[in-house]
Amino acid sequence: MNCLTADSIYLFLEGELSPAEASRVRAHCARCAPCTEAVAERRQLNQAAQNLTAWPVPSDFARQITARLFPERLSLRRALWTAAAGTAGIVSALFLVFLLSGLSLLNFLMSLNQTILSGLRDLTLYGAKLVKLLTLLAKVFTRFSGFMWDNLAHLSGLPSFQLQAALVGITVLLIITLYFGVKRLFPVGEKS
Amino acid sequence: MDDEKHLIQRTLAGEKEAFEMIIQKYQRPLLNYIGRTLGDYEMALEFTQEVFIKTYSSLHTYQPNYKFSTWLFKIASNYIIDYWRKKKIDAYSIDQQNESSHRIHPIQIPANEIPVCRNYEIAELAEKIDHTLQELPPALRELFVWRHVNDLSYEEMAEIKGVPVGTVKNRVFQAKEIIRKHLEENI
Repeated sequence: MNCLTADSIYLFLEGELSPAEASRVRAHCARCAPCTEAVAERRQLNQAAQNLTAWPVPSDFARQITARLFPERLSLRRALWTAAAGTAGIVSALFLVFLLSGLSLLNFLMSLNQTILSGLRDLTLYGAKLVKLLTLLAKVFTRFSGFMWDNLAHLSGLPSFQLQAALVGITVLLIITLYFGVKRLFPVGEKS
Repeated sequence: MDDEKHLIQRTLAGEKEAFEMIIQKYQRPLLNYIGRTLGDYEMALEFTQEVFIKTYSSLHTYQPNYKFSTWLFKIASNYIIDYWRKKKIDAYSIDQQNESSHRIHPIQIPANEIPVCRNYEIAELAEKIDHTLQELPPALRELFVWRHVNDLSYEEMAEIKGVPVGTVKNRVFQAKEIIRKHLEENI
């Protein structure tokens, strides 16, 4: 019998050979040291392969999947109950404020009305101003970043990296000098 | 087995708890198969969820004469293959190597082979195999994981892949030889 192939060794180890074939393998191993060694080597590999550590499953994994498959629907009854509870909460809070403030009911309702109205008016005013300011800032930022990008593109077109670095260094130095120079010439808000 | 069929029928009738029980039964083997085949735990969690959702949506097409676990692994395998295709990962088909000859060549053991596995304790060797899995070609890795992590029979693997049992055996042995060779080179 020729020396064993890896296939025949694995089939032998997994009990997939017929009794006659298995006996032939055993008989061959009895007189062939390299094949005996090859079988022992693969037996160890097979055993280790069966002992790989299992990866853990999160404890709520199954529930996460069913939650995606069966999303909870809010029933009409539950929705009505939720709305009723919310309304009751608001009414109770208003009643509590009315009791604690010591105002008459009419005065209390009028001051509440005024507070809400003035709050809404202020909110609209400041909201509009904020939107205007943000739009302006976005415009300035877009133009500035476009300018920077174009100049950086020119800079990267220069042949040597050292030259690029030197130009960036000089620019930074100029900006710093300019900043402190202007600050020295015009000492705005500083005590001499 | 009957329990499983009953669970499937209850799921099809819209019982959420029944499908949750199916998930609990298969989540570990499926996560370990997908995880070890892809080599990424977070991705395995995401893919396993998707496979269960796919399974649920096609449960009405399941044929009861087919083993449920085999059907589930087939869905998972197709999902992984789709991912590999999208990512352009070269996951050659398991019978690609023998397309020209349609024959399986026995794997020869090199002369003067250096024993490497016997130098390690089982647990240490298992850890080394785990790290070496990503060195295997994806299609061989998948078969190795099915055989040694999921304990699937060669017949089940052949049924999932739609190839002869002999081809599957040869590819699993090839995977082990690649692992052994890799361990030998990195001793």
